[in-house]
Amino acid sequence: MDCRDVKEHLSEYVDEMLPEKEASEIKDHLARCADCLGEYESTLKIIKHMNEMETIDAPAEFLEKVTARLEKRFSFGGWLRRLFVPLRVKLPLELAGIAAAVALLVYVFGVRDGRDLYEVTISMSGERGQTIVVPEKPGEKRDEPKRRDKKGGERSPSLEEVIRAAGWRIVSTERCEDSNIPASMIVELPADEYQDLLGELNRLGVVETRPSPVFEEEQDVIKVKIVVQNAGP
Amino acid sequence: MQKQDTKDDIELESIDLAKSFLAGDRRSFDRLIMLHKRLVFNLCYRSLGDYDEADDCAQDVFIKVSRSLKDFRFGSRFTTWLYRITVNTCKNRIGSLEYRLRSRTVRIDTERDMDDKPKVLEIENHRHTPVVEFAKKEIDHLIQCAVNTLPAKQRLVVVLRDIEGRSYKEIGEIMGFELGTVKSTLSRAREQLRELLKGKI
Repeated sequence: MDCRDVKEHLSEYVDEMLPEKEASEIKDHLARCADCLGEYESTLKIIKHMNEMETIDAPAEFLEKVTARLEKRFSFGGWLRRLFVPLRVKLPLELAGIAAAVALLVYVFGVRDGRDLYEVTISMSGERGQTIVVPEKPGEKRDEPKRRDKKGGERSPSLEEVIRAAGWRIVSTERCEDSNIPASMIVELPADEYQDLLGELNRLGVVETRPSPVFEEEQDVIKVKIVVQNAGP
Repeated sequence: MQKQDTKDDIELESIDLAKSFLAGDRRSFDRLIMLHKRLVFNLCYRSLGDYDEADDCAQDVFIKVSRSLKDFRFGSRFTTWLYRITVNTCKNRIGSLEYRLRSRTVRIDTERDMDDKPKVLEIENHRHTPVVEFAKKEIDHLIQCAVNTLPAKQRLVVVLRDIEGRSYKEIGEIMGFELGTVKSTLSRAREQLRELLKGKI
């Protein structure tokens, strides 16, 4: 083993990482080569010094600094991570969100519309087979049903004619298939003319009142569904 | 033997704290920092040779640890895993550090070698460098300056072996090196240090 080989393996020799045979050859070489021995001793000295080097500790406020950075990361990361939550969490959340949005839309358009349409049942019967049931206005005394005998009299105006004559708008009409007489109709009228509607209906036949809708103060136009019962001939 | 027992105790405590942190106890991470900050900081300082850089780097290490702990395989050694993160963080810093440090170094030696090339060892001129008050500290400082001149891989391997006292096997695991690479890298690093420190210590 020459000087170059020894220098190449000196590091492993110092750490006793060489096989016994090679270690023995190096040991023999060092015993007779001052130059390589000098290298060996120098290596040992440096390693010894390095082993004994002072351990440098972090500054006193190190923990606080790391904690502050972690807090920042947790708060921002927490917000960020919520955007990337696992699908098993995100999907139900999204579904709940969609359900909430649908519920809101139904409330805004559906329920609101339902409020405008005072779905009251009005029955028409009597001699012309018409009993009209309309909702009772809050606070209004329940009128005795009025019965008018139209027999032998001149032709009474139809429900549609009465409505039109009063200037109210018929939004839609459902008719009996066989008689073409209205089974129900939706009428749009100013809220403060509701009493007038009841009066007109009273003149047409027996009107039975039912619990009345409560009009909202700002509501100026209402829709009333008039259901005609026993409307057959 | 006693040293090994202490190491094992630290290892067991680290594993407990890591598990507790993952279960949601943030305070466990503070204790984990306190348990390892000296080890991590010293490795950073000895690898970077600059106190402020080591401070930033060691903080980065613990931030990374907090983020990666969920991926830690609890069958493996925590300290080795922590060293690996530290070494990788240091390695990335060394590259970007060289230019910054070059701007604040002063020469302590203008000796010329046989080829008339300046054979100098440069000392960083930094306020936080351990004060050269005693001979031992002066030697420490000279060695540190010599270490600072080594390429990143040699620097990390020699610090792990000769300052931190890690085994070849563990260095291989930390650095991701085969045993042969650990041996050759360490050998070159030591040879380089020998050259740089010849006649100075």
